[in-house]
Amino acid sequence: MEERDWSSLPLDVLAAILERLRWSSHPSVALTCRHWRSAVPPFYPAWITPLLLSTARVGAANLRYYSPYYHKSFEVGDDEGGSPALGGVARGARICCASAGRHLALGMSGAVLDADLVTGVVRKVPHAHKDMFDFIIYSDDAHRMFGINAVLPLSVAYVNQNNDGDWEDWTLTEFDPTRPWLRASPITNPVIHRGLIYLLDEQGRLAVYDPCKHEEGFEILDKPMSFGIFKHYDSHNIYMFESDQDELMVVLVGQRGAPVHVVKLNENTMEWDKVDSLQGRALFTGTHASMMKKIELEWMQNRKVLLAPRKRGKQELCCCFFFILFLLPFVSVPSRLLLVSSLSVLHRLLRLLASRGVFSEHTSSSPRRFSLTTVSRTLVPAGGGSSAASYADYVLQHHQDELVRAWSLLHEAVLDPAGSEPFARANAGALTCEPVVPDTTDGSTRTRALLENDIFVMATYRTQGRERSEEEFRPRTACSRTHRRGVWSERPREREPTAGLGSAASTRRRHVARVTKAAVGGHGESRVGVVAWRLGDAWLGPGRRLGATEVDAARWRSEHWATVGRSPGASRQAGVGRGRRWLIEARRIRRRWRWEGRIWRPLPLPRRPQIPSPLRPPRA
Amino acid sequence: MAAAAAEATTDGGGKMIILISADGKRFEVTEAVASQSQLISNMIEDDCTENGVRLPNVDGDILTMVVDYCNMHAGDAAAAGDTMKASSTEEELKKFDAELVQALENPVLFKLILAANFLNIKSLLDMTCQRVADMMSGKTPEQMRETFSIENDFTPEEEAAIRQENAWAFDD
Repeated sequence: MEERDWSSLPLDVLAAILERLRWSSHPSVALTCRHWRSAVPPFYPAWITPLLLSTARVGAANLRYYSPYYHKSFEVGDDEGGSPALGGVARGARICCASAGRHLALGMSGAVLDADLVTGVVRKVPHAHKDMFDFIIYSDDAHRMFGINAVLPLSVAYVNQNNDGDWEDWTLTEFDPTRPWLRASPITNPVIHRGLIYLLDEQGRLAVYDPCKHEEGFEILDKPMSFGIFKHYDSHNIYMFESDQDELMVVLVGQRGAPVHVVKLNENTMEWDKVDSLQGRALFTGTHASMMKKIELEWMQNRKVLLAPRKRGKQELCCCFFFILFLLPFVSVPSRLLLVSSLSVLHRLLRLLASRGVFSEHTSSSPRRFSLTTVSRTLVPAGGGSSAASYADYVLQHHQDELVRAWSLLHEAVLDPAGSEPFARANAGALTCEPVVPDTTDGSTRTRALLENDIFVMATYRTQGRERSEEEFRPRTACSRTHRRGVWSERPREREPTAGLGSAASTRRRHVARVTKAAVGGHGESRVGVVAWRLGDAWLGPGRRLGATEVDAARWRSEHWATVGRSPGASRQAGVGRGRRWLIEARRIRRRWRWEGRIWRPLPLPRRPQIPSPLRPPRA
Repeated sequence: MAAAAAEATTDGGGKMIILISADGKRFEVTEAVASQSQLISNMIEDDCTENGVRLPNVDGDILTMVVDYCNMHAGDAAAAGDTMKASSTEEELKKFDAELVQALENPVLFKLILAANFLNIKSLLDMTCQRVADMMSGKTPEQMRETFSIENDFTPEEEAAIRQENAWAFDD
């Protein structure tokens, strides 16, 4: 028997060893010798991706991933030509689903793109529909994709992947108006549960599709009919997922500081039952994909983490993407929220945590230190608008253990009663907190969802900064572009639906006055605009929820135009134009929407009643 | 040890299988013991164990350890009527495993892994791989090369490139 040494270890054995090794040691193994290097898999940690690929239509056009193994970035639909991997084909595509760790489905009109995040290979799978599917999901092994049109009537198509990795042709369903109709919940993907695909209705109803019986298509279940006691929850903030205990669950995120609830499908009664405890698991929700995970850390248990990326404007040089991490307690209203917004902030945050001994995993057992604080160095260099780094997923995937541990520390920093005001501290040292609104909005439901999330963020925030003065609300470096976009608003009070118009209007006037006052001091124009916009959305909301009549809406508009137009900040700094722009946005957002074709279309605004407007004196 | 192993299994009953190592040593084990190896289990199914199973990749010393391990871990079938097995608890087994793995010299561990891989004995492979992973964890590439006496076959440029790729893992 010839003498062999360790460098000739068979690949399958090496793979088995690597499985037992922390991924942080994989690069070292790869650097030992050629043979070992060939065994180290491209470690884009698959199991993380569904958690991270959480996106919305707004902002989905510019998204990057960095694969440390290939040292190349993967990019979706860049404005300036796109990466070689995608060759610009993905422009206008939108992320629909991530699965089996490395696959990413992008929807675009007339085709679906299947991107392999590890190799960067993108395969285009054209289909005959002229629009994009509303939902695309992978089967569990990612060898089959389902495209679902939730536009009336429900239809489903599927496509298989053959052994060579190529996709075959779509098997579409004929248009058939007799198929069931359903208003699908827009920001949660259908869920594969026990081999069946469940599609959630806005009101909590379920449609089921059996992939083995493709011809039968979707069937709407008789029960559940609604979310029961939670039926007032807004349909743009519900997320369905399959729990790790094989139950179908839905997270209902209340607006403006309302509690977050979790319900599960009771399969005996076919009703949504409230879940009182997550039993030591943490729930990660985000647009399109949610998941539940067992968490060892005591503090993290029974928490929900919402992951939502935000888009920044083009003028921002780096970090076109944010990840915002909210940490919400399970049911109580005063929520704790942490928000990591930019690379430098993250850098500082990590340094802080490292200095407090969070990242010491390798120091005790080995001479090698594992430095997290320099993580930003390993990212794609931020050399300009098109080569900005998306770091959050990178950090999360490589340092998830540390981050999970870190939360508790941050939690203490925030809650420490002996310390100074938490957000003053956060601004000074660890964190900067700011929601950022999308630069452009369109009429999509996703815009709506984004905006409402913003409002929710602020509301949550408000409950925290109880004693904070307006001055403290203002970010420290208010001159930076970053901060100019961030706006804190007063939390609008819930309006009693039964309250008379007069009282509601006076409440509003008070709010407007306060907001305007806040805005005058600093960067008047954008603040006024954004605040007004948000408040407009928050106050009136979808007509059905607050019961706002059209007259009411028109009246609000006139009031609002007046207030903003008269505000010294707005007019002095050429803010009228900008403020008006925002207001126009506000009006668009506040419109009622109709599901038409494959998009939400605004209903025509009601004729504005002749209410005397301070801006435009009534005609004689 | 081989004799002990053979003796321990003969009174266990069942069909005996002869394993022949690379250097010609013969081991007689029961079917139950041998079939922990997926390879041999497949051969038994295929009925090609008549004249003994030749294992050209496995040394006698290593095969002794493997047979020993298999005897310890043989399931209920082998344990029937065997007093030593009946009394051995799970803890003892664990202890035995730990001692076996910890005591291994590097070259022996390597051969044992190869044997476990060749014979396809999952539990043994798991155990040895775990041991190797423990030896690797937290080490720099240089330390790994030293531990496993591996020659560095990268050119300096290649090495620098790989380091660059994963800079986060290599900073001190």
